[in-house]
Amino acid sequence: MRALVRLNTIAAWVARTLVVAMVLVMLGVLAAQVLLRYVFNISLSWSEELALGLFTWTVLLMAPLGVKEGFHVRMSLAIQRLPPGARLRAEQAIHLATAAVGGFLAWSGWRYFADTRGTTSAAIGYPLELLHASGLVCGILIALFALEALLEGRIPKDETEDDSGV
Amino acid sequence: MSETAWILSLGFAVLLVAGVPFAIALLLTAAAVLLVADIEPVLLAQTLIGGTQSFSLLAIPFFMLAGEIMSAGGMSQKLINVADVLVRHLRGGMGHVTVVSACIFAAISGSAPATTAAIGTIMIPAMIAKGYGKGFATALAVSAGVLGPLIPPSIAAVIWGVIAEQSIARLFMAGVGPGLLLAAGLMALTFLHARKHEIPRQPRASFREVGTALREGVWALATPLVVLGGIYGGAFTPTEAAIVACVYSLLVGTFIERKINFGNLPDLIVRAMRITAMVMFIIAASGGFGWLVAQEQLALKLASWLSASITQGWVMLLVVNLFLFVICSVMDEIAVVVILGPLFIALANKFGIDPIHFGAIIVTNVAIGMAAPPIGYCLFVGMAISGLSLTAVSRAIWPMVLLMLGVLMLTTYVPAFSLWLPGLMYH
Repeated sequence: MRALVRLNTIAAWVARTLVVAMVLVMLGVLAAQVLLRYVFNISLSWSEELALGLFTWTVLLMAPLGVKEGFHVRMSLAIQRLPPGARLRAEQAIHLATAAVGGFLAWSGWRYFADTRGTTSAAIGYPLELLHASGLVCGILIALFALEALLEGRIPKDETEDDSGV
Repeated sequence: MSETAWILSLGFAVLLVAGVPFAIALLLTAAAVLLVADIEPVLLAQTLIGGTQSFSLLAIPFFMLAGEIMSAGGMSQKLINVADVLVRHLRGGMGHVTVVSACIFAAISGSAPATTAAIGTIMIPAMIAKGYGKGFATALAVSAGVLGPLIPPSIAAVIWGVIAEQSIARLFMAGVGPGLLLAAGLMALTFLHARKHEIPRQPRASFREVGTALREGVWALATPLVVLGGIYGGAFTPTEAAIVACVYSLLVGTFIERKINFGNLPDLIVRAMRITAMVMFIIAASGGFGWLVAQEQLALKLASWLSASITQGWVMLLVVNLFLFVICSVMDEIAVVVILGPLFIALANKFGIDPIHFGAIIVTNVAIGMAAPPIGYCLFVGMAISGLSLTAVSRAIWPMVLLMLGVLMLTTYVPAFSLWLPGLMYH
């Protein structure tokens, strides 16, 4: 359990750092695209393709963090009315289902990655497996983070309990 | 119904009621169908990645980030200062300041929770200090957040534009009428509330105060002009406008306001990306689900059945509105629109409803869902700021929700109300 927590902490840190770096690159590239087009009349053929590739990665790296931090939206009206014991079991079943779908996605992602190996993108010509690996990584991270939540017996905070004040 | 149709409808509904997050429920349902129907599993990863490959959707993280940078860079406070010197002397002055500053912020950010957070953090305590009830102050800031997706730019319009394959710029313009009417209605409610509770008026700002606020707020006030002027002047696309808004706010926040630095930028990015991932993961996960629903022709069959049962367009629109109001009160609005989008589009086509008009109806519904109890992002933001319970905010917000429903009815049954501006601009 301790090893899993340590692994997940590192994975979450790496994912968060990559997301920040990728957003900054997207911002820089697309800002340069607008600037070059209107100031120097130069069109970049590769900027949108690069930005879209990074966008996919940022979404699929950030989404597993939602499993870890519990920020994905859900309908908690029924589950939050359960007695504590039943609530814990229900939450564990959800974590288990999430881990399972993460595993399935990792398998599907691996197949997609392997099937499309050798293909390249239209504008830049980068190997498309760099983009398609995002499904595999997303699945693995979802499975790992959900497994940690399952073993920890984590109960996400209900939205309606949030009255902390600012 | 076939086995897969049962999994896609009943199985999915059971997962949602059981409390499985929307995006995970979409993936689980799609994975179950792939296994049961023996379909190539690669489809799940392929559609998940494909669902994020849209340049229009790239506007979402950057409009969110622009909102975060504006708040952290002190530009939201400057917008509020401008609104303050312009309308504070009216009866219900602080409430009007809240609505007017939300209108200006909405013309930059396009997000309802971001608008409530940016304006509410400053205005809820300020309104309470001037004698407004905590409930009213919170409800007003929550309702003013609804202006975020109505007044352009709008993240909800970006998402609907991508789903319905319609012009995002036209959809933006279609939200102006409903947005301005809602703003006027909220100001009227504030006036009545202030008169009923005899809340004292604030002194009128002197010319000097107005001049100072305008001078200090000029950089913040220029942001909507840059964003909307750029889109409608044909200089850049909505996605590029979001980038320009980010770069502009970043430059102002760093070099003029001196409140942003490389130390706090990563936190702002992570905050913006959290909300983006919440929305985008649902959109991406609905790719595989939507593909399977299309294979089963579920949306088309349901639309055919509904159009056979309902013969008049106005009844269909009433049913769509009622259904959305009820379902959005218990489900995430974006998830509803993404999942049921094909059904709505099929229905609108059957009755020959103008796609931009129909888009305005959908966007207004999504916006209302952000504030309508018991589930609404703006509601939770408002509760977190004021510390009020859901029951207290729900009780206070009902007059505003009724007002929003009035605006929705006007948007639905008077097409010119939403179509006059796109018609004028694109004639």
